[in-house]
Amino acid sequence: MIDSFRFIGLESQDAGMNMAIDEAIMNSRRENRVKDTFRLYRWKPSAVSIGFFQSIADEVNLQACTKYGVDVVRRITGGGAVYHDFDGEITYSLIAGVDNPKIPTDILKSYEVLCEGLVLGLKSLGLNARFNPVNDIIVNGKKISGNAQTRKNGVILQHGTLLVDVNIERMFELLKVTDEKLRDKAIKEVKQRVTSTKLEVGKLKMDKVASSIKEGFSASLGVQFEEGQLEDEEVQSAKKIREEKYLSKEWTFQR
Amino acid sequence: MRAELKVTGGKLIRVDCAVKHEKIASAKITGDFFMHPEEAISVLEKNLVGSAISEKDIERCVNESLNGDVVLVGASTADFASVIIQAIRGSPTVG
Repeated sequence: MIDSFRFIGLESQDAGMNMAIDEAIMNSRRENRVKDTFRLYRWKPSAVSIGFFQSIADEVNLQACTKYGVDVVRRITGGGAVYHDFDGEITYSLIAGVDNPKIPTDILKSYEVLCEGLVLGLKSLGLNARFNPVNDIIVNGKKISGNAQTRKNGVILQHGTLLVDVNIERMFELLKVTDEKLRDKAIKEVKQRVTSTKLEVGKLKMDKVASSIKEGFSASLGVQFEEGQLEDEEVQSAKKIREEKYLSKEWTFQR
Repeated sequence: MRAELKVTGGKLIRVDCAVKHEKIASAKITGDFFMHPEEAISVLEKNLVGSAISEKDIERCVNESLNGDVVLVGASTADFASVIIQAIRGSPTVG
């Protein structure tokens, strides 16, 4: 169960299904029905995800999301609001038993260990990446990846983003800023603080970036990634979780 | 009333609360921090309701609610207590 991971290659789902698949894998891992799993995905349509503790009214411009056909979903992990642009980002998720000896029990340390996979992947693409505590990866001082983790019933889920391209203006249309009068200033500041693989090394194919992430995680954890897919039960479970949880107003608007 | 704190390192804690008869009547805590297990936030919010509003009472409530089993990442119990106290100070007292 420990020396190899199931690897589920880059695929695209809507926001509810992406979150539901992560949760369905956590459930099947808890019941020891599957191996520790590493998954890569994109968001189709593009989506905004908010952290478990965030207020949707404070963070998201729902009108703008409707206008652009952007999904909105609440994660089971904490952290901030993220705009997942279909053309500008790859997300990974890693689901493992807490007994996996490669992953520290200490949550802060485990962020660093797990983020090292992405750091290695980015380095192989020629980017000068490093972990920036608590949960970010930066390149030349600018954020390129945010990561979030939860632990439930003996299973760790860490998911995180990698910016391949970045559309700050669109992001700021979809996300709210604390003070509307400072919107222009905020956009300028974020442009100085955020980067993407495209800005750093030019345009790369999604498949190439995905492959580098996969190799980076496999190398940093010292485990084989075995190509796999979701079990039928996981797919059925994910569809149910998507419908009953992630598409529900009770879940999405709880804060 | 609302108060918020940007913790060193960048995490935000925002508290909305109402005070009635010198006790907290409602409390909602939001932000981009990490708390493990996540459900502990509901325990804290529930325990705050009915709590007296002195700094000492709030600190005790936060410490008891976010006890040894709860792990905070990007914020501390002192940060939470501090924002709650700020929100109470800004709350119009009713009754």
